[in-house]
Amino acid sequence: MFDVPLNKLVPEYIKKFEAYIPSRPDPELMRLYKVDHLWRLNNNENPLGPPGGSAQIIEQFPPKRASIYPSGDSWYLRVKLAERFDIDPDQIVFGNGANEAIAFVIKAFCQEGDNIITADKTFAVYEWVAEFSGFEARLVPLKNFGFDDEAMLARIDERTKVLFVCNPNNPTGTYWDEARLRRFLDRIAGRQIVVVDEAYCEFVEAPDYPDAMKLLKEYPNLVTFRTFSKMYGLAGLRIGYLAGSRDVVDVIRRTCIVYSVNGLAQEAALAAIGDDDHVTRTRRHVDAEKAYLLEQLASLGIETHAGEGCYVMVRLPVSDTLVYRQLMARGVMIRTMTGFRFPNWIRVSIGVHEAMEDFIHGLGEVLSDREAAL
Amino acid sequence: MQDRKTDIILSVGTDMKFLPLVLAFTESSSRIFGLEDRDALKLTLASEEMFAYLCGMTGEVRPVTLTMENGFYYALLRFAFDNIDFDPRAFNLTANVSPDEEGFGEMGLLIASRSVDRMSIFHDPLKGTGIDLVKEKTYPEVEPWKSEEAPDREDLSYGPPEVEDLKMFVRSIAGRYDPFVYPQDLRYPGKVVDMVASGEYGVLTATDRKGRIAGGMTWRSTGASTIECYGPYVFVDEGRQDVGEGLVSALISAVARSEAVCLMNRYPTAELPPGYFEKLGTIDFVLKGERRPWDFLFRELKEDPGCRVYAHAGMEEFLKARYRRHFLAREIVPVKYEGERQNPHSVFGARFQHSQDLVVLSPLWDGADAKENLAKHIEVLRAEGIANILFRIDLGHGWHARLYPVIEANGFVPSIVIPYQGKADWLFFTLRD
Repeated sequence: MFDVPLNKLVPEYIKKFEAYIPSRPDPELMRLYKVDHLWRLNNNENPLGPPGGSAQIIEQFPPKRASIYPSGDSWYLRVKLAERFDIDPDQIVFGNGANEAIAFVIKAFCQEGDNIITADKTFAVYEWVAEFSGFEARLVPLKNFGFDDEAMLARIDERTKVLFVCNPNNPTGTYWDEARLRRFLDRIAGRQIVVVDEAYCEFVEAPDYPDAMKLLKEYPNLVTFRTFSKMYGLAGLRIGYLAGSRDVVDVIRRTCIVYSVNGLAQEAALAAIGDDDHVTRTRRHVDAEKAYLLEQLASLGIETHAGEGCYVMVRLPVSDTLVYRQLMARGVMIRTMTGFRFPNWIRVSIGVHEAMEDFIHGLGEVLSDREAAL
Repeated sequence: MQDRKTDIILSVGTDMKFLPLVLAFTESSSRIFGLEDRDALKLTLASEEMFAYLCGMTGEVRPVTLTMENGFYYALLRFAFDNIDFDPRAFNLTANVSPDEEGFGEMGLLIASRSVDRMSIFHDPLKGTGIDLVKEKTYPEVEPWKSEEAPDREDLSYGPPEVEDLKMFVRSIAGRYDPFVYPQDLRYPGKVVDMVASGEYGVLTATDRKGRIAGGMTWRSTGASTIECYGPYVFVDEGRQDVGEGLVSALISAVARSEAVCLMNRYPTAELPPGYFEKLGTIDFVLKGERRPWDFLFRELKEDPGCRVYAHAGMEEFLKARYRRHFLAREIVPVKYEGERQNPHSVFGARFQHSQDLVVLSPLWDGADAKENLAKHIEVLRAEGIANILFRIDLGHGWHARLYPVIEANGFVPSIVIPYQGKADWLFFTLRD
């Protein structure tokens, strides 16, 4: 057998990278943590699953169709969404989850020396994609758990290309109302691209919450992200999209990977569009379980923070990564928040009631057994 | 961070006719990178010993690449071979230049190690095989300082300090804290400035509205997966715990999205807030003849995915107890030697840290002579007067775990498990008293 001279074959800049290792599949985690069940309260998935129409499509998907290439640019989806939002189908680009759309935008507008601006404590992928691509990510501290518009504006310079606003913010659930978003866009005055990530928009019922789709006609530098992973329960199929003005999207399309969205995902998403009953049922479930969760956590004397969205932040008196392991050993998987720059906080997704009960019970036990913690 | 792409490289063969070139290379490049005469000469002496040793060991001429790296506060001289070009046995600390010579004093690697601050032997698919010699610059020692007016503890802002504030921070640590709660590096303000410039050290301070430093923390990477932090150091009189917690929280936030998986705290202070770290255990260390407990404090920065570790039966119970205590999900795979063919010769790596009177041994190659080879290493290190000898294995390598009887027979006992330091967890052994 040959020794491969990796020290010569691998470029220096690759030697410096560490591979991102995603978490293991549930059955592997259950085996390692020696549990017979696992409540997934870590990824803000919809506990009710996909809408009925989507579920039917998935159940009846003919295996033979798996051998046929899908529409390379999600044609029928774009047509249907364009009709719903009263925009042109060419104003929409689909991706293999909204994460891919983030990469499309950064790739389309940034070159060496450019920067993007976002918050320090928000969805990490804006920052990661920028940094891994060699661009500076300017991080603006949250103010009262929310994006700080003035501070973001103050960080703009001539090399700023894109500003990312997560609305409502994951993980804090805060949002900019329409007046504030408009003021921000007016101040930018089209000089940079403004991305408003609305991954959780369907969970928000507040009347002053803005709909970025409706603002596209007024602000040609505005791009919005949406996903079928959260409200529409299609996270496993990986499908999301962005929308913007025709000119801006034409540029973004140049960086897109075509055929990256599979056929089943496209059909299931098509069936989900317009299922308002599913949205209503999910909202009622989230409202009820969030109220239960907050009440129970309050009775344990634990600090929480909850805004919009299907998740709650919980502040712990011990390390979040330790509590993760302790809860995993009880069959409950939550999201640690050290990676969100909220050390010793966890984010708990709203799940089915039994999962919420198990979480509360498990957390109570964990906090009364703190031998491992310093 | 300054550009480090100023490495100076020399490729020669292991032939003594190249020795003058090697010496000129080391001395000149050491001076270019800022070592003073005395330090440059020490590194040159080490390079002479090393090169002569390698020429003696290799028999036929082999290509060797010398790289001088500018670490800002140090110069690093690397002797590297392609794995396929070199017999690894030569990298045993105990390998003699000539079998005729007597005593440990003539061992080439040992001689080289005496002239430098740090020496490590490596074998890695990406880096190849070789030896790193590190000589640090000489800096003036800190003048401890304590402000008469205490800073405010309210409305603190956290961030990296400017150069002069950084030096003031270092002086304030010396002015307020016992030397045992901060690393030796912090005794030299200029060195810390250079370490920060090199990107090796991180520092953040908390400043009040008047710009006065209320406290700070420092950290450094100790590998791809681990960051080691020190402190928190707090300079306010009241509300010290609150400032400490603010600093720890700010530090964790600063490194949370790095590639590191673990955060260790080697020098905790009384202001370290409860609830942020887990205690993995304690090792007794001997420094300047005095025995001191060294707590291993740790927290994970990422969610633990669990992993597979290899364990010999002799250490399985120890591992199970540690993993149970810390809720670490590990699949333990039993291993043992079952008569299979072995290479005749083993190789152990040695990492010298002279400032801590410490050597960490680790297995590089398995071999039938491992027990005797390890015994010889311990003998050599004891003769050298090293007070603290640790042995470290990576539980992600089955053959490391299989060495347990060899390690145990040489007087080592399992002491600390540190998650995700290598391919899997590292297990440290200490010598029985």
